[in-house]
Amino acid sequence: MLNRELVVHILAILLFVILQVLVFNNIQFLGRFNPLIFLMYIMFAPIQFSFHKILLYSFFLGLCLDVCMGTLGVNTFCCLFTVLLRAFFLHRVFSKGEGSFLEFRDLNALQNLSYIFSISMFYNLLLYSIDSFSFSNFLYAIEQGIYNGLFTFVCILIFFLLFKRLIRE
Amino acid sequence: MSFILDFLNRNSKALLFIFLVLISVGLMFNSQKYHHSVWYRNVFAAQSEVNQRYNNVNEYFNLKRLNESLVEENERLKQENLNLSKASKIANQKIIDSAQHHQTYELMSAEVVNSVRRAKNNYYTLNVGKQNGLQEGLAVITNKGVVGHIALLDDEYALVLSALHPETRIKSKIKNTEYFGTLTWDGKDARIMQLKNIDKYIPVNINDTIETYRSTIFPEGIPIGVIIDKQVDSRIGKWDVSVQLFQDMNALNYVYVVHNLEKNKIDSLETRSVILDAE
Repeated sequence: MLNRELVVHILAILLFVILQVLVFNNIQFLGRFNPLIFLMYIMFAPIQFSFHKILLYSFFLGLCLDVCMGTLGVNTFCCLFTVLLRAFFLHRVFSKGEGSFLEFRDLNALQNLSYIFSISMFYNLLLYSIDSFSFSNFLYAIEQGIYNGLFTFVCILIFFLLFKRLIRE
Repeated sequence: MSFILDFLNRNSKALLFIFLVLISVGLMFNSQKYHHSVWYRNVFAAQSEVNQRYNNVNEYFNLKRLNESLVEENERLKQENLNLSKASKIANQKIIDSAQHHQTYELMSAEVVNSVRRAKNNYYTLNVGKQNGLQEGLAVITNKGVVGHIALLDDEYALVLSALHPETRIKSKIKNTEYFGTLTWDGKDARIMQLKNIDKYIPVNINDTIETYRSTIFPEGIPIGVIIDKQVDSRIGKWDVSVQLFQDMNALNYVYVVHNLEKNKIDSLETRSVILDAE
């Protein structure tokens, strides 16, 4: 029998991918910036998830995105390192010690903001710098990454405030 | 044996992470030919379908600007029509400057249904495809300049590799001269491209017009932009020229796909030259 949790999470990932590819990749704010809304999955996946589990789910998320966006490997790579950053936050910032963590609902506004901000910026910077490998203009790519990171941060914040209750439960 | 199991057990997180990272890096380095992936083709078709609908709504808001551009184009075509000899008017075909440049081109109008813009890769999706008789490698232009060439084809849609892409090279020349160079994009400003490979002793003036040079892809004489800046690259002794494009690449609506009717003949002849070299 299939695990119910597995099915739910795979459906959630596919939903995020479809939304990202068909809706959010067409926003093109100021002509070139698109919010990476799927990062919400990595940010707000259940806090009790083991590292293995979130790593595998994120790998699947990145792979689906890559297949749909024609950028094989790039998003997968970035997702994996973002999970590493998430794990860092969980262990160093949100940890209450003794292996137990604060829940997302217990975080204060500053913690929430810094968590969302760090992951948005980290992912975008990584994505744009990988993108620029075959390209001469590294600094320009970093600049674009920062702008897109800020835009992603604002969009995710709006979604976070809209769906706060859903995420916290 | 138990030592190995113990090691795996203790470092399972790191090992899984490294394993997955290796897979993704492997994918990254083998993804050059993603164009051929069956998956991508299907997703591309679905995406285009959705974008087409989205675009139908969007179009209403661009009608005014579109009208202006059509009037402008009409004016140019009328003028061209007057200048062309009767013999070169073939039914349902528009011939660009055939009297002047001895080339035969067939134009097909197409609509841009989507554009993909990322740090360095710019693509456009057109609503024409294989069923309209297109093939990969055809040029795409507008009445104001060049757009790019077709990189990927579906039955109903075509993906255009923009001129604003690090891999695009357009042979172009200074108008009314025979000096030609390569037009590339440095990835900074979508309004400005760089003309390279022009020796420094060749006279280059600010405000000179740049147009396409003869090639099997682009017809000769399509205006691209004007020179706004020039400096000598002292390392290689060639001009590094900045060209401001006539076409706003962020506002593409209708474009023309150019079919060079002689392309296959020229290509097959040039392929035979390889055989000559081999002998």
